[in-house]
Amino acid sequence: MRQLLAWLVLFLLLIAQSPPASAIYASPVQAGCYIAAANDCRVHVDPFTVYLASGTKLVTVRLILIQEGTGTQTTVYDWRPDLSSPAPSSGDTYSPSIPSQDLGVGCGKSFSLSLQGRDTGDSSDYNLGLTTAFTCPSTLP
Amino acid sequence: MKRHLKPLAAAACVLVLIAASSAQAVVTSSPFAAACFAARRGCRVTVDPFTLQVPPGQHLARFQIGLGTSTVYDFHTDRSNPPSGSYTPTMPRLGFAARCSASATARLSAQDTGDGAPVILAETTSIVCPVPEPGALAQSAGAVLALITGCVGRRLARGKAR
Repeated sequence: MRQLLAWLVLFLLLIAQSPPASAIYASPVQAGCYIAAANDCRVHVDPFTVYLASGTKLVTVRLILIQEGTGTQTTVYDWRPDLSSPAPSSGDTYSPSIPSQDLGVGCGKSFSLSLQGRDTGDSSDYNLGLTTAFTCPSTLP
Repeated sequence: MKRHLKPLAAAACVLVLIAASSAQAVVTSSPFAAACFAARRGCRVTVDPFTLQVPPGQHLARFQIGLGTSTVYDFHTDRSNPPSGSYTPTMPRLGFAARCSASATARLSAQDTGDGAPVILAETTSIVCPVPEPGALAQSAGAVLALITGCVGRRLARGKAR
């Protein structure tokens, strides 16, 4: 009986000590790179949805390109909500609009794309998704 | 000897069946269609929406759209949650760059987590990109000329002012 109680206390202590889990998450992020014109490459991102912790609001959504080889990180999309009426206006999900002309990048390079976000319950940005590396075409077909 | 042969033959049959079924387990696609058109600057290829079907137990790793021998679109999925089942990607609104007056076949290839390399799923017949309209060429030549004359004019004006 004592042993059982000791295990229970240990379990409760572990629960109390573990950091609170981030409730913000997103649907998978998928993206690709294409050539739109000579020396004009763009990254196209499929629509995604951000799921927030209940009762919180969205603070930021970022798309970050990580160049293969160098590891250089570039924010190519930085989304912010209305200060007085932050999104979502109702519910706990939000799907930001992706630019219809897509995101400009350098041709002939390889990148992976990271989706990062934060809600009002988070103290910092969380990585919500990451693609494997895709390669931008270098020349016109 | 014959007694030993029967189970061996059965095992061989099972292995052949397994090999055949695993060979079929690749990503499949709905029909794939593409078109080339003359845009404001050069020619572009648009691809009609398509759906990829990933075999059970596998996840989509990537797909590529090729034009002739070149890859014009390289698409990769989420590292931790790649899609399974069916997936319908959205296509770039602008379309892909192509050479005017040239013809090429468009092809779709994809790779799931069980494949070693992308597998060609579909290919179109040869697509002919139009010859750019003479009007469009004259228009762009005119625009370049106007830009040059504008720059020269501004420099001259600056020089006079000095």
